[in-house]
Amino acid sequence: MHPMPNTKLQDSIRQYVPRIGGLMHALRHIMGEHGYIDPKFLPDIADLFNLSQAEVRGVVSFYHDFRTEPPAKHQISICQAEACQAQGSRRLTREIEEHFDLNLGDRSDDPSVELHAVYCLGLCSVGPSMQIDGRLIARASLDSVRAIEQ
Amino acid sequence: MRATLSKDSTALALGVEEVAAELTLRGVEVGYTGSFGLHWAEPLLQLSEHGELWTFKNASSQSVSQILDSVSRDSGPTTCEHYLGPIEEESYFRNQTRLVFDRAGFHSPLQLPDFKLLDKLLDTEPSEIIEHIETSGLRGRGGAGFPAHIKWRTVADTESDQKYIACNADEGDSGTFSDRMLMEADPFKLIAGMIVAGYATGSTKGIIYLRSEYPVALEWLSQAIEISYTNNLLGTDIRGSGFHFDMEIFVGAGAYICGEETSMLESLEGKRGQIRFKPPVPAVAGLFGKPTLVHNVITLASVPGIFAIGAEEYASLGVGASTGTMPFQLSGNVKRGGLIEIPFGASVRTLIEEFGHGTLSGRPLRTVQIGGPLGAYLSERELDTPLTYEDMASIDAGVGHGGIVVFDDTVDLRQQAEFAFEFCELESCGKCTPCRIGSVRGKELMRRFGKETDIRTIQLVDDLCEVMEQASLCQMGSMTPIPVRSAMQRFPEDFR
Repeated sequence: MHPMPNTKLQDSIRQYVPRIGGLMHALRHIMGEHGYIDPKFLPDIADLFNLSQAEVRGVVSFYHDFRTEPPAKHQISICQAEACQAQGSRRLTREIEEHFDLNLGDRSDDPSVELHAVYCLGLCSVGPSMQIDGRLIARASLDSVRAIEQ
Repeated sequence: MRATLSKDSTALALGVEEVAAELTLRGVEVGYTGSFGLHWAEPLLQLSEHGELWTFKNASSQSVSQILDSVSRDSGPTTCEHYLGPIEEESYFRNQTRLVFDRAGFHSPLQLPDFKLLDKLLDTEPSEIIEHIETSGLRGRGGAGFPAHIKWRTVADTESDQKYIACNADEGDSGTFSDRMLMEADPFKLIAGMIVAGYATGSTKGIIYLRSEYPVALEWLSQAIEISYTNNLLGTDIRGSGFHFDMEIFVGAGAYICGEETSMLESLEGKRGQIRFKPPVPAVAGLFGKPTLVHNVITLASVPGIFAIGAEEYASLGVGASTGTMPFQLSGNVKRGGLIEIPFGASVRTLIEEFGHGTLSGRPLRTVQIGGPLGAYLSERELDTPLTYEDMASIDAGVGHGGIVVFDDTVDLRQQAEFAFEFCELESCGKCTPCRIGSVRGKELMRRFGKETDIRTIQLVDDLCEVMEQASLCQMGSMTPIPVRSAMQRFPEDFR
């Protein structure tokens, strides 16, 4: 127990406690609401689910979707898996990296962009594919990301 | 005039919403269906007026006016470059045997199916249903190809106060999208399959473990489950049968390993998706230690088709112990990628040449990877191998989840082998050493080629692969050597 529980946070995820895999639902909920899982939330989550902080931290760190830092405004995920590789994803990735002067996994502040690798969006027949701020893009090219700066 | 478009991920990613907006602007009423799986033709546009139906391929917001004009012209739409002709006459579609995807594309994903078959099944002895599954020869479509009836019978015969049906919709293999397509085109097929599996095994709860990369599938599936509840297809006393079955969706959080069944169960329990030792198998002690029937989407969605045509008839499709139909997925560097549901037994070449029309780049085909990131890279002369579990095993390959990824001659197989290790490093759950450490060492070894004595490197890779194959706890570690070894054996010239 810690001295000042964040009851607002706990109330927002209390509904997931009795559910199957409740912790995962709760973490997803927090991601949706805050965009990331602030490490300072961990004691409150652990407390609510009757888990140790290490267990919660373990779950947060295991899954690619869960992040512990605020996201950049624009999220670009480029598929790096085989079907897209066969359709030029390696070259496209290099072009986009050069365009933003960023490597996959890095972020910039102006424009506020983060580049991610993603492994399969299920668009294998119309690759290379990517996702920009949640929007799926097939037959992607460098042009697909240019709109971001405008 | 009325327009029909597909609202699945592929069409959405190709701009179907812009096409719809343009049509609406021009006073055309727009309706949505699932996709037929002719991804090379998406966005596929169907226009109907006065009982006539015209189909157009690759519609875009720019081509809408051209397409609409062609319909009103005296010469008719056939001269329009986007004109495709009736779907049923298109060879890509006509040459398929659709049992799982029979409704896909023809209806709204939310159109309820006919319940007659389900009513009949819920009035049949559960043991009899399992006998039919055995007769059909259905094997797990997720990759392992394990006979389904053995799992069903084990769950049915294990005494427990609670049993579960866990549907694995964590379709993470590159080159596969049949699970996604089914959930986005005909979610009721999956729901019906799960109800039948629940009834036959005495399970009252179904959970679909859906990967987070599939937001469109989540949308359709959630709505379909809701509609099922309001139509007494789920919940208490389903359609007056006395059978109770509940269903919910669980969204993953980005972890390839959660496609491994025990890892998925751990994740469902709200934990890290680390794999479990087997035995016990999930059919005996699965979710929360209770008997759990774990199948992937297509396996469960194959169930209604088996009863629709009869188990014997289903078993007569395919070759030997590879019975029924398999929704193959053609992708990568290919002209006509998409979904091809056919009986087991056609050659890889048939799919690539007759359906796929060769490489998209027009360059010579060099290799094909079958069955996802843990699948083998085949040489050109192996393309005549029939797609059955047995024939694929005979060339040290596997059908896997039915994904076929085509590469042209620009591919560097050393780079692909390095990627296989790299992917394993990234997605390993970390529980066992051969996978956790072996993947890193493997990646490093792949980078040595051409820099140090290659003979020595080849020996080290060989040893490493053997350790990973023999000592890994699950297929992530034990099958990563498959793409690596197949690439090195078939394309040694790339490893020097």
